[in-house]
Amino acid sequence: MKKFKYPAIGAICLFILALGIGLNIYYQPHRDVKSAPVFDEFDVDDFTSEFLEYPEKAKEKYLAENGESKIVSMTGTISEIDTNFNSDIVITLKSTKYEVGARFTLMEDQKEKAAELKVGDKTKITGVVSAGAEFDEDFGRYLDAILEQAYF
Amino acid sequence: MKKLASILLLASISAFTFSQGHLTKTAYVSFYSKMEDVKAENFSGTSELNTETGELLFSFAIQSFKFENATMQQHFNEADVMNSKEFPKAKFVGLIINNADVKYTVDSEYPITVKGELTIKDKTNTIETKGMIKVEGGKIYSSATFTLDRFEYGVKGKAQSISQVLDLTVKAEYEKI
Repeated sequence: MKKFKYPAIGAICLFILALGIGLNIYYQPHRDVKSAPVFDEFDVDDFTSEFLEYPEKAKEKYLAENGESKIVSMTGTISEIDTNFNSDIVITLKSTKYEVGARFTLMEDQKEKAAELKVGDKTKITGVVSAGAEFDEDFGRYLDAILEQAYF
Repeated sequence: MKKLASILLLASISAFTFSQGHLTKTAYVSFYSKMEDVKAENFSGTSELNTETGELLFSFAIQSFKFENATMQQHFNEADVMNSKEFPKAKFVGLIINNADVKYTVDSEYPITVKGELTIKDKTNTIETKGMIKVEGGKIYSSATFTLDRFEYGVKGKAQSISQVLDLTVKAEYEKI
């Protein structure tokens, strides 16, 4: 009986370790966007033209396969301030070169800063790229780039 | 003179058609899987409704879907599931079949039937669903709840922990353009 004691304890320890690692991976927290590094910083015109002129290259550059895409900072003029169904504030920076821009859904703790802004103000916003600007033939118009978890 | 009249007529037709357009850039979509009680929400959709023709469009960025569980969110975006890097958006292009029944200038709720093409990844299927148009204080709202078989769009993945048939909810609040 004794000869099974240590292997059994070892197997139990291994099982607990594997379970711990598994649970840790499964319940890992979401990426902390604010403390994650910013990939690049530019004007909204530059970002817009990258997606409109070289969409495949831009997708490859900014979008990640697991959805944790690049975090970028953009400077531009506010053309719209909106609120979504989650009561998040959504700010659009419009390109000066194209009939389109970039739309940022702000994090909840950014409301106070957002309240100080108005349409026409120039600002810098950082966010996670979700989709680039594009011309959609069904809509018959350009659709803005979409950035989530944005902050000033 | 005839030419000028034609131009004016065309211009007035275009202005009339354009004025029937309603747009939102904050449309909502969620899906729910009963099997694991998993829900994902997206608050960043673009939708356009033409009240004259009943044309209804939705476009949603796949990477804007948020899950409570980070691992599930990552798995959802991966190549063998939504492949969001290659196909960043899902789109619906449809028509309100009974658009004539909706009085867009009278406050009320109007049941609608919508039929159109839903494209997810590189798969397009025709769907038909019931929904609602609500007119309130000059504002127009649309909503619909329906089911979607994810296998019809090639959304499989390795894990079979999510229901094959998902419950979807879509809603939008439009601004006149």
